[in-house]
Amino acid sequence: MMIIRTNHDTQTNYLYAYSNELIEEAEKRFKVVKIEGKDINEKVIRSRIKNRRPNFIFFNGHGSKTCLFDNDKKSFIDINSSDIFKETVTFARACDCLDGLGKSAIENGCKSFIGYRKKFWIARHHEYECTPLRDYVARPVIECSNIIVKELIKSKTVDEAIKKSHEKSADYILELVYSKEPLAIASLQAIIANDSTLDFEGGSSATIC
Amino acid sequence: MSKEDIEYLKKLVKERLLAMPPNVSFSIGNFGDFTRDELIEEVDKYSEVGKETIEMQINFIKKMPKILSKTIK
Repeated sequence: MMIIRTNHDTQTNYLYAYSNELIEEAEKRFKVVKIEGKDINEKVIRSRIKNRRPNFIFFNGHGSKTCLFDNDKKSFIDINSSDIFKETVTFARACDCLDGLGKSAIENGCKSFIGYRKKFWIARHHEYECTPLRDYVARPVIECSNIIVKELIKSKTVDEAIKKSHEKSADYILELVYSKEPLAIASLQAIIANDSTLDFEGGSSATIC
Repeated sequence: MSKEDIEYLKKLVKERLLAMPPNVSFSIGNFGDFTRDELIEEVDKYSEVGKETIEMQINFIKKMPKILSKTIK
């Protein structure tokens, strides 16, 4: 498994923090290659892929319809280099990238590409900006996305992992609808926004094992 | 969409945002981070962020009846 994590603003910092538990979980079963900081560039990633041949690539950061962005907000993989995902299951936890980059990756040999068709929203509480793991407003939003990786690690198919994320979202939605917490509405809105645009391209029965 | 429709949607979404506590923020991908009040400003300006926020809120309003009907069952 290869995890590529940017960390240069509040949103990427939240995703970074919440992906630590996924690395711990994955390391029980796989060798995990972490790509961070200045290593987030096409040359380094191609080299690591060639040497390690990961079945699963998990990206956390910003994206657009056609590319993924590094820590300097510059594109480092786009539709012209989407063959980088060849023979892998890829999950891009990034905005907008499923329709353009995802489709292009599949055309270039990616087994399955999971992502979002629109923006990835995170609702946050001001007080916890420096301690993301304590942010009870953001936690349910990001957990609905984390579950995809947790399911894939358990050898579930892409289709099963996505369904599990929808189920988790539905559970949180019901909990939040009846919550008396004033900020529950913010988590609720972000979960519904993300859940409506989560999807995949390519094989539904692909696994990472 | 007519100018009146846009103004109506802007008003609706701003009221919905105002109903939230002020200590909430939203991160919207590479658009960045916005407090409740900043989002209200973006909606008012009808910027790209504002349009995204309106779309998100309308999607939410459309989906809620279905979600609630499932809950009641």
